[in-house]
Amino acid sequence: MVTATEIEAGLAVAEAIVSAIVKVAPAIEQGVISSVPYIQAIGGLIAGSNATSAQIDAVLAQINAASDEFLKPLPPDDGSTTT
Amino acid sequence: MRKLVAAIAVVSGLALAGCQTVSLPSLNLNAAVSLNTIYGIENAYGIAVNAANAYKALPLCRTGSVPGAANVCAKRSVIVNLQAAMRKARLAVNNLVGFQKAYPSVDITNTLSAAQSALIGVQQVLASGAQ
Repeated sequence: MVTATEIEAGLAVAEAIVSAIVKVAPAIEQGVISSVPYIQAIGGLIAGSNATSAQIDAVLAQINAASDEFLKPLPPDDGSTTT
Repeated sequence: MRKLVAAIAVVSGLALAGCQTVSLPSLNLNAAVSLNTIYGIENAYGIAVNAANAYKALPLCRTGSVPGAANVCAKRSVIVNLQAAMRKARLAVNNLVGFQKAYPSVDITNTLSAAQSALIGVQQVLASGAQ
């Protein structure tokens, strides 16, 4: 049984991530803009909408594709960007 | 944001209260709560991935330079750490979704905790990149 505390904890994770993004802004402002649909989805849950399995699958596929892009290795270091 | 969290606590409390008092044989309310929880975590994961991609898109900092307002750049070390954290988060969130799908009536607390922990790990690396 999932409790209200657990749901709240999940949202706290989102809140912490958004806070981290804001700290980096405006350098990664684009990341915030791209995240609007996800923030809206969380807002929808807060407003009382219910998620479906189809929604979960579709969003996960979309995020996994973006994750694939992020996980691509960096170009080799020639010593000029070792920081 | 705290107001929003407080609001969800109230909404969730009402939903859970309803779960205890309303009997709807055709509706598995526990499953509905699980789906909402998973969807919330999934969207937090999406936010994290977008932030990570945006950070990675910055030019890499030159050796010995420090990122700042006058030198907007990404540290190679932060991206490498972020990729390691993101691999864990991806696995954990996918495990969470897969577990709920395979066992819709089983408690998701453990897989949920793993996904939350992994996302907190990503958040911590992201925060380190902001310093």
